[in-house]
Amino acid sequence: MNVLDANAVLHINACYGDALDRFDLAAWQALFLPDAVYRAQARENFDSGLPLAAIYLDGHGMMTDRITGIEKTLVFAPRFTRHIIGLSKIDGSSALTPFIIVQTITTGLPEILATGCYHDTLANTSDGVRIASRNAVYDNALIPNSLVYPL
Amino acid sequence: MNQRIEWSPVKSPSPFKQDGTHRIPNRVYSDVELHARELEAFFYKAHWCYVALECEIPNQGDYKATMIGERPVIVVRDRDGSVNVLENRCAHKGAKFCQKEFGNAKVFVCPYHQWGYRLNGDLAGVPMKNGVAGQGGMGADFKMEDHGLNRLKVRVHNGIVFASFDDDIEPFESFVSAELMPFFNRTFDGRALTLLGYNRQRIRGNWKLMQENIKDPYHPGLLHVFFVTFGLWRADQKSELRIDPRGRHAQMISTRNSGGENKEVTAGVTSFKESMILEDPRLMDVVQEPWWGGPTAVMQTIFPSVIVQQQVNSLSTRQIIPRGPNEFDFVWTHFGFADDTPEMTERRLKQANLFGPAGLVSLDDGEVIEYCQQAATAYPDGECVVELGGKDGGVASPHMVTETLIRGMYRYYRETLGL
Ligand SMILES: [Fe+2]
Repeated sequence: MNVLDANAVLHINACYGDALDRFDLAAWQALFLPDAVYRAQARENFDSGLPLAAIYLDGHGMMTDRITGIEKTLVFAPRFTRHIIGLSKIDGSSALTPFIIVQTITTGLPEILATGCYHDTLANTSDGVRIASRNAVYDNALIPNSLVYPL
Repeated sequence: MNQRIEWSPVKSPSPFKQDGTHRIPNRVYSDVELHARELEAFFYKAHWCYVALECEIPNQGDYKATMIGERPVIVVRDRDGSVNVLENRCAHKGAKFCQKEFGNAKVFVCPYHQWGYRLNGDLAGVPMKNGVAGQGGMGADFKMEDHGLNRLKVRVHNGIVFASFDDDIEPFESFVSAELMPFFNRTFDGRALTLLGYNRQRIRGNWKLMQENIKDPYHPGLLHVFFVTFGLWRADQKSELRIDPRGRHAQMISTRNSGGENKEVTAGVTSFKESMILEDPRLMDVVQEPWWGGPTAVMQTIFPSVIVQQQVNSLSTRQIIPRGPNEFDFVWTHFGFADDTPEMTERRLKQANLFGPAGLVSLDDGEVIEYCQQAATAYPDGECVVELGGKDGGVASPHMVTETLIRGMYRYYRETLGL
């Protein structure tokens, strides 16, 4: 029976933000089931039923490729991110969780990179709750230049 | 048409220090007065500017609010199926009356005093026009037909929509040029398009730096390590550069996997990493499409407003919306064709990982544009060196080891602005 425990959901979201804010992308990936789908999608697309996402990763393999891309190939100014993840509204195996992500280019002032809501399907596993699918739907269609790390 | 008051700035001397365009003065990226002249000369006169794909507004009354230069406009499908482009500026007090980016309307009504307009911009209603109880109202000389919305010239070309504020603009085909129409029509050949969605980014750099970026075949193999490593781009792959006679538009046409094993391409390139293999090949599951007719990538710059992208199975328009000299918005509209199979749509969506603000081969472009802008602002008297491939003023080329397309754009820039 897939009844989500609210504390377990809090915990995985805390781990999620922590992993990304430490740039530990392997730890981020490990929070997903191997065949999980991750998207970062502008709300204007989500609300209109348009399928395009800024990031669309279908399974651990594509997540690995994205991580390699970020860590080994992309050119970008050094930055910090801070995920502020809110309380989840849980319904069966689904959850809606609001977020704000603040980005600080290391030589500049903090700015809001994205604000939105995670649309999740979560699963209980023997290792705890894992993400079966997450769509980080961001309200601000306009990204301040670049979206380097997953939301 | 409404009358427009032309702004005639006091012209400062040319920032170019010598003939030719192999040196670009930093001032063209940061000077407020030059920027105002660029808007007037390039976005508001004599140029067809991109506004939409027809598939964004399929039904009667569907509209999209967008920008030409720094002016807001509305693209709307009229009752007879035609496409109108109207200035998003009430003829009364100038309010930007439409605040929604997309919608459906029978009429446009400005919320301020409820002046109402038909979908062709004609003024249809003015509250209290004839006064109230015999008092007030518009004078006898107020004519409804004098106060419509400014309606632009429109060209719908095989599903893509361009507009111009300039009544005297040349035909679209001669604007794009005979040299470039064949590859323009290769993507837009009349097939119905389907809309896949949008990506938007705000880049703190001058808008021309993005035009330059897509006229610059020097950088992809150097900056975009992802590209090179996974075989999407080699400087020695079969390629061709086309440019219109005036130097403003261009096409970079290339065919992947056609290059030799020329070691000069990778020797000494610090960003080259030989050993990377995709963990999941579906990220770049390229399938040849019949309409390509050979080339696997055609990147087109239609000056000043848009880039048309075909990178293997990923298709998009990238609209450039300036916001002063130091910043622009970059709007990506991804599309496919109505006869795409579900598998092809899925492929286009997966390959879209390479593009947009999170793009594995485009995120870096926005970043380096900001690095250039920072220096342009800090060193207004500095210059950029644009001498790869010579000092010509923009010519077609059978190879990519040249910055000729950028020189061509600035030849046109100097001529048009009289600099
Ligand atoms: Fe690039």
